[in-house]
Amino acid sequence: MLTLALAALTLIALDSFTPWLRPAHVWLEPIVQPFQWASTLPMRWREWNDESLESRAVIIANNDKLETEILVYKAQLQRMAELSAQNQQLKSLLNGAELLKNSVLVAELVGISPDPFHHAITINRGAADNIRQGLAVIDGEGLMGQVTEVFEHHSRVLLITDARHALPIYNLRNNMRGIIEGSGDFQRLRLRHVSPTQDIQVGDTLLSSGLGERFPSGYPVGTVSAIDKDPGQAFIEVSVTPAAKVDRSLLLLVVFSAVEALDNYPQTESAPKNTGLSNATGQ
Amino acid sequence: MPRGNSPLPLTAICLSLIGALFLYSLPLHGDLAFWRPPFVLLIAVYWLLIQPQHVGITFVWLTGLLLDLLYGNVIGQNALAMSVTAYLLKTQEYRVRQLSLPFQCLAALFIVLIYQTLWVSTRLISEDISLGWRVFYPALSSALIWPLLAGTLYRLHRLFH
Repeated sequence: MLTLALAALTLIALDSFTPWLRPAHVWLEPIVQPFQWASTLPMRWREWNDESLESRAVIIANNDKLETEILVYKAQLQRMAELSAQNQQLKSLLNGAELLKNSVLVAELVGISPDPFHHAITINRGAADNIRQGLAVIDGEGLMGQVTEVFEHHSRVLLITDARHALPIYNLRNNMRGIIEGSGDFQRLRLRHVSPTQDIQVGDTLLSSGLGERFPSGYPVGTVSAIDKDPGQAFIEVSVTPAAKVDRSLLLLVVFSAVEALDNYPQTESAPKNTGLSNATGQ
Repeated sequence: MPRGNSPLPLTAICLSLIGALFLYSLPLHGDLAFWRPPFVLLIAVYWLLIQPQHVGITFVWLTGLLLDLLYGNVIGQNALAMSVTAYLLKTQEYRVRQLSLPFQCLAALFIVLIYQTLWVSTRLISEDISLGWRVFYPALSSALIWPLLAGTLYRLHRLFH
């Protein structure tokens, strides 16, 4: 018994302080895969239900709605092209770096962490698709999380709602900057260190600021849902509802950030850190 | 319950472990995930009590290690918590075997309570997790699910006997 306990403690210490046991995780990944896949079955079943058991009329109505939406988006996109061209011209006039578009890669959710203290998911893209640690993951609505572990054909993503996660944001209304933290609850994020005199209102949209060079800037993170002012406290409690459907989205996008591409830009003197990246952003 | 000098029910053990891992990875929505009983521990403990001549604390330790390896926890956390729990149970082995079903449920509650305490303490060394009463929810759900689980395992054991 003592031997086993000691062995376990040694393993804990080894795994916490050294990367020596990491290959074990990588080798065992194929075994976990079936269980991971099984864990998404209820979600898949619900999706299949939604898709297959819909009546014809509803499908036609949906299709009409989507077509109208596409038309509206296309119209907006035309405008965007012009604006982005203008923006680029202005930036070049200001002698700034060229504005690069973020390129994205579609990924599918293949697993959810069963541990309630960890908000993490597994996606079906890995090192083979140029995924690297630290890339941002979004869904159709907003920022979801970041890649924390990369395997050959899939990778683990830490969600923004995990209690260990934090990211820099700014308020769309007044450009106020802040740090937003996960709360361990899928429906809530916490904005930290907001002083009672700062201008923040319920309904404010918060976007990723790109500071810290981890997340690309300008992706919606959430909207302020409640503000709790306690006169005895130095800071106010600000609760934020995440924009992304953190616990429901099945299709996700991995964003190859433009900031990283700028690192490789000839203007910067430092040696390019990530060689695989220039290919990725060129997609 | 089948006991005595029976051969090692390897198929039943493997099947039950696969089932436990499957139940462990099924997604539960939101706060419901905190109620998930530690299926792997319960099943390992069942075999420990039923097959004392084949299954020992080393087996429980190994299943804990498997759980750690499969789900990317810090390696050894579950192995430590599960084997210490199994050891404590083993000291009371003869009493626990005599218990009637309602008392077995109560025993399951205490076993999971001990396990959760150990597991959360090993996690607190390296992680910053928010505690609360929800840490002990699995103990309640384990006590409730124990009759069903024990019944299923008994049938499975019979099937491959």
